[in-house]
Amino acid sequence: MRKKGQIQNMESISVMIIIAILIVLGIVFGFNQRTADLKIQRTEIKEIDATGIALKAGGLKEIKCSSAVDSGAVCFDYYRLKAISEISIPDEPEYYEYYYGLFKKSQITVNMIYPDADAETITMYEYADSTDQNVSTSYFPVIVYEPVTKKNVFSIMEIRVYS
Amino acid sequence: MKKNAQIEIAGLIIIVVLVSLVLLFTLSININKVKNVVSEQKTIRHTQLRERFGPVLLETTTDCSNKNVRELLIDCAFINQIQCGALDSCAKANQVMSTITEKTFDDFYVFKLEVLKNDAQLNGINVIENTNPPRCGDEKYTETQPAYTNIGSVYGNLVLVLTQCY
Repeated sequence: MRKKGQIQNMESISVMIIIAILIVLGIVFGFNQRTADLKIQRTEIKEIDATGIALKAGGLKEIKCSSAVDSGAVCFDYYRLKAISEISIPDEPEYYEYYYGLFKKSQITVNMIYPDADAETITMYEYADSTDQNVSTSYFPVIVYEPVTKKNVFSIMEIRVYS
Repeated sequence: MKKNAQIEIAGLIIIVVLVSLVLLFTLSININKVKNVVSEQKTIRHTQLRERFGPVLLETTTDCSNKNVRELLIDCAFINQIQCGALDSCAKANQVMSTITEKTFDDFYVFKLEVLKNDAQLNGINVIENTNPPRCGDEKYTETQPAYTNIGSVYGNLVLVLTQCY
């Protein structure tokens, strides 16, 4: 009779252990899912930020082309773009602070793709501490106008947003 | 004694079935959620690229007497006068559009670029797609950019259509 009671106790304990394991597994699963969701949301927010930064960069009067482009495409003047890339750096704190206010923790580069075969890349703005590996990148086509040769160069503005 | 054991086994089976149902339900909800989020992400990331590509492409200067892509397409569609070395305007436009799309879109971005004259495929201009065979399914977004619009003229309309597929 005593042995039978012990076996019944063992059974109850086994069932409780199994239920406990299932509950722990459920909690771990739920936690992992929530973490994954948050990561995805964070990436989404960065991409929305990148769009905002692209709009701000596209609207900068100091680098816009003098003449409007027919199709309404965003157009940067090549020499103005070169000029801004020389002052929006941490070595020029007075200007850097202003551009940091606009672009925050991001890096904006313009890759000139066509017609010149030797494509040039201009870094328009770079966040001082851009060593962070957690980055989201978005791409926006723009025109870079070379006033001397009077060419519209097909270019891609690459925006990297750091966390 | 035998009946007791049977009842216990039935209880265990009910518990296992309930737990399995809950797990399946949770998994299905999560899978759907992840699918939607990934789709939204792709949309956010690629919308700007899709919307801005056409206007920028049309204004791009080519190495054919400084003509831009728009001028080449208009010539290809209606005039046929421009010569770019050995190439006519249609061949040159094809070459330029292929080069630019190749350098702009990666394999992740499935697209189809075509030029329509009065709603029909423009003769001499190839449809550019980056997958072989084409895999444009139901989930797609289309951006239309007018290259030439003059309602009532003998020319008609010319549009650039970029379809992005998921």
